[in-house]
Amino acid sequence: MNGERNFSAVNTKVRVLKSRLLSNKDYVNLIQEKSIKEQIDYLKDRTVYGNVLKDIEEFPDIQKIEIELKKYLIIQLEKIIRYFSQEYKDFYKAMLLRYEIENLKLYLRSIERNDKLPDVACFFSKYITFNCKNIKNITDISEFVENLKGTIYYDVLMPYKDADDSRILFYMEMNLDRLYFSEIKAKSEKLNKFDRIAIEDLLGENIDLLNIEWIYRGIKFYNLFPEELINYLLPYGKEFKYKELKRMCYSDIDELKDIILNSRYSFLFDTQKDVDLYMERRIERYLYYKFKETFKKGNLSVLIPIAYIHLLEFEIRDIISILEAKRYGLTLQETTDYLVKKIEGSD
Amino acid sequence: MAVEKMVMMNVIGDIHHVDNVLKDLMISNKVDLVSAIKEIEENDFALNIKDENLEKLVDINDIKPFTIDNSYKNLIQKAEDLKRFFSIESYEKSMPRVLLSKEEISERINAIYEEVQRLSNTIEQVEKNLKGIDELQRDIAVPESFSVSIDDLRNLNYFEHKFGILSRENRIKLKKNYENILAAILHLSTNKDGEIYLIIYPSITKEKMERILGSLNFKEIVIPENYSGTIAEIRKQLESKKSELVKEIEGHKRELEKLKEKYYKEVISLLIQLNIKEKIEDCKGKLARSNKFFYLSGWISENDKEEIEKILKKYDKLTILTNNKANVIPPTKIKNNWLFRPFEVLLRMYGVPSYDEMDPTPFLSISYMLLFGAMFGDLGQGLIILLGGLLISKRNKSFGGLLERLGFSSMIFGVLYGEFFGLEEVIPALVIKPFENINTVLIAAIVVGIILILVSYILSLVNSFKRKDIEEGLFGKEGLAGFIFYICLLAIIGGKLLGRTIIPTGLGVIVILICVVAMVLKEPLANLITGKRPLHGEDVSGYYVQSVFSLIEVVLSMLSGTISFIRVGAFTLTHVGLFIAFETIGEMIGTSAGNIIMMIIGNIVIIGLEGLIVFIQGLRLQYYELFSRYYKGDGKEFKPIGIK
Repeated sequence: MNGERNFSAVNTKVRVLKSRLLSNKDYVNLIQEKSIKEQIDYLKDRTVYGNVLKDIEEFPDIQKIEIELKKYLIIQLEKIIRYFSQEYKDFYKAMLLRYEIENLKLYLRSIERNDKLPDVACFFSKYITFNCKNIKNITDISEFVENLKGTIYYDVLMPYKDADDSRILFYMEMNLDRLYFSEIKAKSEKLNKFDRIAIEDLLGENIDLLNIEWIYRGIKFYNLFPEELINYLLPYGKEFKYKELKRMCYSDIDELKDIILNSRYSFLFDTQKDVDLYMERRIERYLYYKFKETFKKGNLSVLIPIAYIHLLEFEIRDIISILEAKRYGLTLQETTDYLVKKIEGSD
Repeated sequence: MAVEKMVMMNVIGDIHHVDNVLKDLMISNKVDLVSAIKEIEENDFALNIKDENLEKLVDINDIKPFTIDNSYKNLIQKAEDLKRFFSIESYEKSMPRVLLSKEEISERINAIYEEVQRLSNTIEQVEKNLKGIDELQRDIAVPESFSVSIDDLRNLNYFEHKFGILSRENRIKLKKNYENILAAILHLSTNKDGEIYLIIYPSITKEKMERILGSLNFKEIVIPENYSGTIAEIRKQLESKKSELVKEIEGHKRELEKLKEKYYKEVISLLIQLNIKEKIEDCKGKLARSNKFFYLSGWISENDKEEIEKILKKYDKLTILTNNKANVIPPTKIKNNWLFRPFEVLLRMYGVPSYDEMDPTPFLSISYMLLFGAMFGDLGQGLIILLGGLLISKRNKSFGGLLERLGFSSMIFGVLYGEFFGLEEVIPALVIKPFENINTVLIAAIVVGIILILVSYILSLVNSFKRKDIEEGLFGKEGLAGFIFYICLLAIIGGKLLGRTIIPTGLGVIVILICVVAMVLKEPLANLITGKRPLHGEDVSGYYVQSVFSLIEVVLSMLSGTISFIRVGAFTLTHVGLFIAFETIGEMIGTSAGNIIMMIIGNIVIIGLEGLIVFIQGLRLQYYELFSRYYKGDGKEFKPIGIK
């Protein structure tokens, strides 16, 4: 297809980058290190993250490590962006929004809890739209939203800035996610047909899973009206279109479970273990293997860089989980339950 | 010609004078600062032990860097704000005679800022109100047929209402779920943000309705309590409020104008002061200080020495020391006359000459003009390039200047060739019509090439001599050995071609062989002469393999480099040929209008496209065939401190 010309260089680059991801053995070794300090030394000495973490000192602050790793992720994505031009560049730039949005969510959550604003991977890059240096000392949501004026986030968060509602976080997060997916969708529409279809397919499943999660949380924890819930959902799902989604919104929890159990996403509820606790991880693990498959297929395509970025993201999440698990003294078995990547024996 | 001779200047002066000294040096634009602390460590501040110097000598033991004051950013921001409030776009940058202290500047800026800001805040506020009204007016632009009074809606007991805007996408979502929503939803009109709706719902379902609307990103239009009546009436009320506000703004603006008159000059002069101050702080990073003195080091051109001494004479207790540092290579300051100066751009693209190298600009200029003109000889088109250059030189002096000179050279060759906008009949050829003498043109091109290459060899010899580089100078492939090799090669080949003996072939071959041996053995030979041992570096066999191969490259590059100049002739012919093609198309069209149009298009294409190609080809000959023979260009450029 068109892949050879557009993607041969970047796919080669990405495959090299991918080969640097941690192996199963790294995971097990890392989990079995005796202390967080030893885990960090392992990362420093034995993995690609050595360079990234070289400034981390004796007293390991997990948050700081997370920030450094995230920065690494963004640098990788920016490296990849350089291989593209015009529409493709715009598409991958839109992927960066996701990390900004994650930061925004972190901020919003800590404002809601009246915590100090967390340090986040506050990166500076020509592709970044807002400057998190300016919002260091903000204490309420309204002020926070005002500070986003001029960015694409302002319009979607503005309606909630003065709202006094316990669901406000849910609303804002949903809106941010919706913004991300509609940006990605809009940008992918400019790509050529072959790539557009590939992305639609991949996004479709991602959207399905998010919609399920939202409906589930919306009904179970937030008591949303079906009428409003349906409005927040993302269009362009792969399996669930408007009609099915509407039916799901107007069901109760048990009916919802039945619908999902009869779909390709049955793994979400088909388990003996805790559904709520592991739901997000199950979604991520599903996507993780989806992305791995993309690599296995071996085509030159627009999906390879996307898949790499997500794999890296999941790996970083796992590393942080492993460090946190050590802090709470979890066993190997318990730790693996929280990881996106499947290590022997976890569900 | 002109790499200027540089000396290192070390200045010790009273710490109180440091700002003014730096200011004066900046205005002079003649000093390239280096780290003073390093110079002190190298003991270059050697003073005589005299009474007047004693204090300075004692103090030098207590040396430290300057603490740099970064707080100018704020003040500059304020001054820029003032500039914006007064809408000053450009101003004359005159240099102040004395610098004010930071406190003085800050006091004045803050005073003015406060006065102006109060007014500008008021204006901003009123303008914001005005914008709000504008927006509201736009939002409630609903058809006249909607004649419900807002008061009636407000007075409903069991119902509430909302005006607002939905995007097209969300509107469809709402529509799809009408059956589950308990409300009257009335579409009023459309504006650029989306669809305007009036929604009326029972008060009991208020919370639910608000949440549903929230999920649709419903943008509510709030009509303030003090407006009442039907929409049409409200719009009239808004109109009158608007004209009220406009008048208010005008009043404030007149006041602002008065303030501007009062402070204009002062703000500008303060801004200039601040910018200089900030630059001074930047420079201080390279200075050193003790308790009472400052220490400054920098390269200056020897010619400027007296002038700088004169500038600094007005400061008492100031000592200037200069020395010719033998152990460091100074930066290169190149200086050329007006004719050659624009060509420095081309030189910088390749590299600045190092301090002990000859500045090749004059040779570059002359040969480049010659090559360009020869390839692009046309009186009319040259004139266009010349005019273009004049136009551009207002914006970009050096590039414009370059075009002017190239255009002029093209005009001269145009006269020699008898070409005017491609036409051959308008003016007579003074020397030759290229297209009728193809062989002559091509041969002439090679001859010119040979001459240029010979000159480069000579320049290379001069450079080697200046560097006292025996190895390259005598035995190198661009040195004497290469030079003789090239001449013999030319003489033998030339003799064969002309059928005449220039030098006997046998003798020529012997000389060439001697040169070859010299080039192969250049390192040991050079070491033999300078008395350095061992004769070879570490890897002896590697050295010989390399030099034998480089010999092959030498022979090839001599021949190909020479033949390469044939392109000069080829482009001379292309230039004419291209135009003939356009002329032929013009004739095929048949009408005189068509003819003229083709002539114009042809000239545009030739000036734009062929001009560019010739420009690049000329540059290529310079860089590859000539620079590679005689020029290294690995110097460091002289960068004086200055203001903008």
